[in-house]
Amino acid sequence: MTVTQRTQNRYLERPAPSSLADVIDTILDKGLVIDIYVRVSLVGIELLTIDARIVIASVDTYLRFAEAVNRLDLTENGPEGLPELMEDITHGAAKQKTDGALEAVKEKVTEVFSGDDEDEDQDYGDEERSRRGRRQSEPAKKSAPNRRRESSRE
Amino acid sequence: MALHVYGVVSAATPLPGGLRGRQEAPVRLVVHSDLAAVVSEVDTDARIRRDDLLGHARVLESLIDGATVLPMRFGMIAETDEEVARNILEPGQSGLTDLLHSFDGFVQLTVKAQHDQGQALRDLLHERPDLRVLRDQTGKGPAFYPAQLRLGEAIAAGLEALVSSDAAMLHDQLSGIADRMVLGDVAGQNQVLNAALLVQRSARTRTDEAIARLSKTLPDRLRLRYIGPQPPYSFVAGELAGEPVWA
Repeated sequence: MTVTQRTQNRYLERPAPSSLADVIDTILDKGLVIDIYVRVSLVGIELLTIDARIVIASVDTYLRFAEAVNRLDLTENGPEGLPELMEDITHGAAKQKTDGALEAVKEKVTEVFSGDDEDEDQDYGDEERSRRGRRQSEPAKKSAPNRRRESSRE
Repeated sequence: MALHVYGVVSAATPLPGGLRGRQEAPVRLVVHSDLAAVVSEVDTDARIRRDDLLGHARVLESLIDGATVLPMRFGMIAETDEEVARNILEPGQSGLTDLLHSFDGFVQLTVKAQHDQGQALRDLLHERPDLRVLRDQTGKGPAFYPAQLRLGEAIAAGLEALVSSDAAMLHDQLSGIADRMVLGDVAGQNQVLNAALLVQRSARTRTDEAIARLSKTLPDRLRLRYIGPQPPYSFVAGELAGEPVWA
């Protein structure tokens, strides 16, 4: 996802097929819903999104911004200074040097679904897996609001 | 075995040959009167993986060039063909048929905009002398901790304002391009806009050109992604069942 963005967007001649991140954005969140047939609970994703919003207004984020800005050399205007700067901002996100700290959170969402070619056990943690397994085999309940409350406690 | 329901089309819709869905199962139609549900068999005990999500999207996307598709949210599972006909197609018959007609000839295209954080910070400091002053008041060491925090907080607020003004600008530009537009949530720090555009299939080329033109006029800090064509996910949300489950 990030790679294509980095390679400039000046020439968006035609739309691209949706990536995994786009799919998560749309098919889990949008589309027709028939309550009695909802069998899949993806609680983990909802929680991660909430986390992302909380983290934005944290002391840690403020300090990282301050540090990034202190290092910013305003005399140069090109993107040359960026790599060093961005490395600093994203020191927590191993692979993502170009985006902000919170992009890493979204990346985590993607990783939840990215274990296909590897060991089966790598895509969810144990706790998450057993929770998910339990929910998926659970008969569908009509009371979505209950499920939501339940999820926010976890 | 159960049935994964991808979406609803008109009964006359031809399926592409050899179309496979989740878990590589062949995709077929459950027809009831003039409507049909797009389904495939699914093992509900298996864990949901990346390919399951992509499979759902790919099946729907493979249909939209030739047909109008009402997409289901991922996760609609029924037991049998009869159940699909009786509980999804039959009660929704008039509603679904109307909905299908209302989207006839339309596809969704999604535009996502994101800030390049480095460039956004740069622009922010160039435009805001007050932030440069704050910056000059900081230094290294614990004594400067409050000053650093003040600076960081002001920067965060500044970036947020920049996101808002860029989002408003993009919103204006894009609303001239689409028949309808729905803004989705933007989660995450550098995300500026997530806009779903509903456009006529026949206007696709014109839309592509308009997006390409727009992308060339934007400031460097803005990165656009242009995704589609998709079924009208963002325009049907919850319409059938009333209260959307996760929304």
